[in-house]
Amino acid sequence: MKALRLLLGCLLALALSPAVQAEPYLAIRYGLKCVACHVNPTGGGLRNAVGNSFAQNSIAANALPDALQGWNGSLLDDRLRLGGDFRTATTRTSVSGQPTRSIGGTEQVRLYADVQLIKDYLGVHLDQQVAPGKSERQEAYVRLSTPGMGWYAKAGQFYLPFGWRLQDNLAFVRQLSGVSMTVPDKGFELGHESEQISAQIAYSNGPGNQGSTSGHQLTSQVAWLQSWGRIGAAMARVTSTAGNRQAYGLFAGTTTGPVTWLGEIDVVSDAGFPEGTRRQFATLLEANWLVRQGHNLKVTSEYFDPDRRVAHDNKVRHSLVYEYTPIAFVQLRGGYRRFGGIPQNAVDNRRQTFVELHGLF
Amino acid sequence: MKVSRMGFGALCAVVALVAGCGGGSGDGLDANGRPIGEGDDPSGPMTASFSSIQSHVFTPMCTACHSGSAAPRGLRLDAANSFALLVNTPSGGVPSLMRVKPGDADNSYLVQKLEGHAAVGARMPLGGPYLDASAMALIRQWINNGAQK
Repeated sequence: MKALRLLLGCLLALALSPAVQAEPYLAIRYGLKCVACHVNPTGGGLRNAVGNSFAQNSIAANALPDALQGWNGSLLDDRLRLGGDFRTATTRTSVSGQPTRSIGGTEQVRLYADVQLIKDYLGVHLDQQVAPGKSERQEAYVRLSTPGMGWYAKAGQFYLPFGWRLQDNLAFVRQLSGVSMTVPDKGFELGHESEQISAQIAYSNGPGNQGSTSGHQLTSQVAWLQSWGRIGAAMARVTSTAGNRQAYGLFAGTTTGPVTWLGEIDVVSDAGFPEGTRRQFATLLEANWLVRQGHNLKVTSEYFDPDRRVAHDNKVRHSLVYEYTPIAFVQLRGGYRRFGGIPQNAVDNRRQTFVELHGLF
Repeated sequence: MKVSRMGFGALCAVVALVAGCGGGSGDGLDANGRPIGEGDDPSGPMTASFSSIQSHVFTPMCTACHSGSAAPRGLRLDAANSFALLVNTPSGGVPSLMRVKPGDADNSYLVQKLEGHAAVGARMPLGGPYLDASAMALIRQWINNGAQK
């Protein structure tokens, strides 16, 4: 009865709010590995019991209502784990010479399930986007692991490991790398998690190798975790009939006082452009100031060079975002983004203000 | 409190630093950020022709993601590939629908994605800004007129 009440309470919370996907700055700020809080060893999506407890006790400004306390997502002695994610936003965009436009609505509703067929060794993971539009599978894979994910292998459809797994899928580094939480791929991944090392290597179809284009992608990543933060490197090599592609990334994070810093630099050489190989470059610098528990001020600066052979064509994207987490599993975000690009293109110089409501259980 | 002041100071320094960083000067480039003369000049008004839609919509708005070997769903919308990968080509999200079905804008997946009522996935361009009604009317007109190159 209590479990049913908790489940109904969480479903109600999901229905009334929209979702928080953990962000890597939290892992850096609290000195945790992604796998410490997430079922997926590379982070994002469904949280494990520690992640749920952490969200309730260390992130939110206030305690959960009594009816919701104790929920950790686990059913049937942790053989079944359920979760959900709901996100809505209203965005106001100003482009010089054009009327200001406001767009609002549900950005995504996702449901997660993880079933342990053989506890701690064999599991099945599902991540299904049920809105907007028709239901669409994001992740669906079988996972074979040693206890604690010291070693694991997964096969099926999943997000590839490359750089920081940001909530902001439109960050330049995520767009350029082609790896984000909107672009799953089908293949096989082998990973290792230890106290100081997190490493993955994946062989997959390649997100761009569909339809008349064929080939495969090899993606790998290694991160060194220390008490001061972490530093990592990533690589992706695409073999494709559209043209081969190599992407390399360096990423790091650390904390100074109340501010947690993230940085990433990605370089890409892509032969899939009409004029031949194009070399591109993107960076991310993000500062997260913990104003007090439940309140985070995020300042992000991004740079993108779409073609290193062409001068004066770079773009920038600066963001100022305030994140308020009143209770666990609910977050309000409000922010301002200033885009910068060549003056001939008004859209590349747009301004955006936005309010988002995220909910998750 | 002292630590919070340090944090605030560090953030102010970052804000000051990034506030001074802007986009490229655009010298020698067209509105799509390509060297003048390399592609179609998008400076004129948009019309219901493929080349105009390419230079006003696909190149400036879509190729940020839909280009190169990692283009989502293999859909490359640069000037050299977009027509072949759009017209009479099954969509990745709903294979029973053509991305562009000549003569039938309503049943073209491209229109559904741009207008935000496709059966699968988010409205495009992802995160906006979305196309206004006049641009959509021209794309619809191009498709209903036969989607010629």
